[in-house]
Amino acid sequence: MNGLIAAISTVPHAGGRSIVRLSGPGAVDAAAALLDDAGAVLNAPAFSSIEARLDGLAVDVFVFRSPASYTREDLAEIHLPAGGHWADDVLGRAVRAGARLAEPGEFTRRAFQNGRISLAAAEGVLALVSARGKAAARAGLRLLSGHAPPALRLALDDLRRLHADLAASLDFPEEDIDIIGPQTLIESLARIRVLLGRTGGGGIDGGASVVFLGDVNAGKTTLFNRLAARDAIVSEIPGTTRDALYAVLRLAGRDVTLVDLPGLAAAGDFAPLTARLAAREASSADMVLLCAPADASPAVSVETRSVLAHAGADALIVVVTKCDLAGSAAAADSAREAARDAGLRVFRTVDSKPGDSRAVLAALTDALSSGRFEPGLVASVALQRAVAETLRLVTEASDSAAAGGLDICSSLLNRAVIVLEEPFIQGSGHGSVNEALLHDIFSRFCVGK
Amino acid sequence: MQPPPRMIDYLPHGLREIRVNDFDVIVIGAGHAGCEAALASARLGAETLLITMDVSAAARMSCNPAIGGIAKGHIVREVDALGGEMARAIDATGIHFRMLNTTKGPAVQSPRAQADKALYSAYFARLLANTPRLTAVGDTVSALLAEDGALKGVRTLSGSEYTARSVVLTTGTFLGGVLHVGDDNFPGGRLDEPSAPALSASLTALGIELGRLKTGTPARLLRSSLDYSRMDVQHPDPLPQPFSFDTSAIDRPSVPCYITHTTAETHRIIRDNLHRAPLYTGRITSTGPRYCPSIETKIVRFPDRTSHTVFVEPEGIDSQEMYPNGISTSLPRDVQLDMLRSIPGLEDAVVLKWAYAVEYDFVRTHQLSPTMQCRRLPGLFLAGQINGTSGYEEAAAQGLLAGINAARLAAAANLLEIPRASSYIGVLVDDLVTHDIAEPYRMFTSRAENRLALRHDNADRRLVDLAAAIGLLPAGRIRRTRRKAERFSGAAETCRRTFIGGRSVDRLLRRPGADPAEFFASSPELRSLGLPPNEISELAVDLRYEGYLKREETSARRSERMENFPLPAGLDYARIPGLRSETVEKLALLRPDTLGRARRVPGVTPADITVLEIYLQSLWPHRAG
Repeated sequence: MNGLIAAISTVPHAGGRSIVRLSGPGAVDAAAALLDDAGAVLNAPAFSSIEARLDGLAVDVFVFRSPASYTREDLAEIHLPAGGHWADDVLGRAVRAGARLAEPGEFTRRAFQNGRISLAAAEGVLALVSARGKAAARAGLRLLSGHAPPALRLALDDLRRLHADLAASLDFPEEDIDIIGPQTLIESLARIRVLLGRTGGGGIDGGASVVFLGDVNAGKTTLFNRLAARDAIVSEIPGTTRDALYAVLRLAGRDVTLVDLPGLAAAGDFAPLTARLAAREASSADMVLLCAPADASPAVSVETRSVLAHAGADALIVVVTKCDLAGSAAAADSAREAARDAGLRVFRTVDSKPGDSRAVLAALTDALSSGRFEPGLVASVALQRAVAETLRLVTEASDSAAAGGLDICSSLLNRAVIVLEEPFIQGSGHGSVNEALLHDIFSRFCVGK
Repeated sequence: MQPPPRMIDYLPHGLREIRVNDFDVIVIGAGHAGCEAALASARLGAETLLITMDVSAAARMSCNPAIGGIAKGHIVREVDALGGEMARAIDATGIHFRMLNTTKGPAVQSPRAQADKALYSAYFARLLANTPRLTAVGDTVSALLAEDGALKGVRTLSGSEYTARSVVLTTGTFLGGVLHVGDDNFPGGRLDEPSAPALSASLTALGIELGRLKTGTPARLLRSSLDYSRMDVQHPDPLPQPFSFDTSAIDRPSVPCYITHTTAETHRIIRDNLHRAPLYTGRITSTGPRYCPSIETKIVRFPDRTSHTVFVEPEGIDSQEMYPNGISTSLPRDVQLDMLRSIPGLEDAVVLKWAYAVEYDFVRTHQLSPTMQCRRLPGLFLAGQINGTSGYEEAAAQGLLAGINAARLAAAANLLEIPRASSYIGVLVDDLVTHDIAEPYRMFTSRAENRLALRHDNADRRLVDLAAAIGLLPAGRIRRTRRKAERFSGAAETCRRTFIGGRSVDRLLRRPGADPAEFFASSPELRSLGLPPNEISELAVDLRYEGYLKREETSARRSERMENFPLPAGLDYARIPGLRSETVEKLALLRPDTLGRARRVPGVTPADITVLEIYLQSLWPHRAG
């Protein structure tokens, strides 16, 4: 099942360009053989784009050599300047030369099985590709980036902590660690069940994601910490970027993930890397909180503006920080202008002094309830199954705690943590995830992805 | 191996010139690891020489005068199930037996016992002097002898040289040992015992990499100087659970333990004197155990706690020494005294021995193979604290395995490994070889993924096949255990086929609050099985856990294909495309022998394993597809 596959990766018969994609052993040679002159592509280095000719017409060829490709195999893409029958014909030639037509989702499936992306990310690709609106696309992008829906993130954190507390109390019965007894376990597990219930029924509620943008000295992280302190869990889902901080709040009846990106506009060698990650976080956020310090000029730096340009949020809130140091008008105007340049709608402008975040909270709550802003729902089979299985395990764990079987409870909690974080782990393709589930997920893809 | 009588059996110990100096196995050190190794080796038929500084200090307990505890109790019973001695020793000399975690579930219950230190040590000294093919000599090994990279034997401080096919090194905390009491430090392996300074240099010269660790021990107090009315009493279990599967009952004198605690005043004294603690003055730079920290470390790490528990434990029925568990320290003597006197019950305490910390060399475990053999120097086996573990039980388990394999090597037989899934001993060895130990390693039940299967009371049944392969236990005992296992599986089947009120007995037993004795009494079929009460409750646990164990088994089997996939010895990880550099470093150092072990190396992600698998499959497309 690891042979050469080929497919057209663009919507058939629509648009002015189409992409023929090949992946597997011999992909680069096979692509080269389709061209008028194979030479340039045959010896192309690991990561290159080449201008070539196919049937006399100019095409772009992209070469990726294993393991530095989407599927971790050798991968080549031929970008044709037209679609329709010509693209079909080129694909036909590839198949006659030995490639097999890819099944729906097979490229992404290989990416998953070859450890390139996690199962959740694979579903994020599907969500992105089939999204019917900006909000849904953003939700898909968040899944692809490894973000867990906020309620799930909270549930996972609570589960991990509970498991660790129980393990400690079992292994150190004579220390005076706050002994965790059956009652505490049952209550905590009940709370976790509620959280899991909030992740959504028919689809996984992606929650709402608010990204904090602004320069290093804009007081952004201070503000983030103040807001997060209300529900101070700063957590890590495997696979998410470590350059960001995440916290979950409950506002206007929904779970909101706050994302802080420290280090924006930091000078030095790492700046380009951080900017790329920041751009990705920004593009998957539902709302932007743009922080501009009253005492700085310019209030919004060039680096922040360039990240802002990637944001596709439905709403933006301007927060002028450090209002105790200077008047806020100039910074507010500057920030609003930056938002307009980036094509973002400003919902409200708020002044903020250190230690006082009430106005910001009110603005966030109002924006969430305003209705003009829609968080995205994403249908994720892997996550749904993980949540359902975790719920079963949590219920069983609670029952065994009630019956005095704390050792069984601990074993079940262990399993629950593993099940809930599994979809986010990159490279779980072998052994642990069952075939039926994989088929379920990848069959919903369209061909070529 | 049927040996003729040897001259050496009739010579007194400690003689400088022994005419016979060639042995099958040499064991260095008579601590908990050394004693198990020497006994196992001799009992398997190998001519064994045990060289230790002081033969009468055999199996001395440097620290806690107790055997067992959470997970450690499991190890003791597993050692017994495989033919080791520790369980019998504690059954014969214990003075306070308790089962821990009785309210938390059978899988995490573990036996523990206070030992009479003197009796325990004498028990082993007697065995060492009376075991055929075992010679114990009082001397200090100063160097390992090797020729062209092959191990030949040892040389001692007194100038003697001995040759052997295998050497088992179990030097505990004596290798380059340095003791710290406040600002004083001096070489030593234990209080009143010298260190082994030369051997470290010999190991290093042979290319063996050493690290440094530290551990500590509290003061010892005069029994009659403590006020027990100001402490809580802890009584032993009325019906002690024996450690050994060979012991039917324990009928020994017992003594209570006492519980007190530190006070705000104690904490103030320590805080005011932190600058005089070697840990904080930087004099000790090596790492100590996180979960057995000195009292000064506890104060610093948990500043909000107003008191820490102190268990006052007797060191023997007739002993004048009491062991205050929980206040080990390396603070200077005057601070120690003030600190002790601020604890309820210890106001007039007389100190017989001061608390101290000991720093020592250990052999970094990436050089250890799962057979306990040193990879750098075949023929050399390492066991106990020298591998960076802490605890007498962990040491005994390693010593047993090392002794068995040292004897097998000498007899040119294949070496044995203990699988991770089979026992806590398996988990211990597997963890040692997949981790670059940076702090003293101690066993917890949480370390075993399948702890529901690894109960202390089923160690005999779990390990009977391995025990038979090892050959230390008499055939009669193996037979008895196999018959017990058959009895249990037969009884389990009967439970499945017997119905009460329309439900099968095994289902009924799984209900919370079910009383197995009741069901067995009320059903003629079950009564006719004739199981004694303790076996009935053990069976009930088996049945109750069956469902969970099956689940654990299925998920374990799914990754079985990968578990034993061998990794080639000379694999150049740096050339594998797609591996993170951190992973390359770790795998190149630890050199795991299977993909399963590679997965367990800390920091290696599932993505890395996938990359490895793809790479290996491209090398051997027909293997393990």
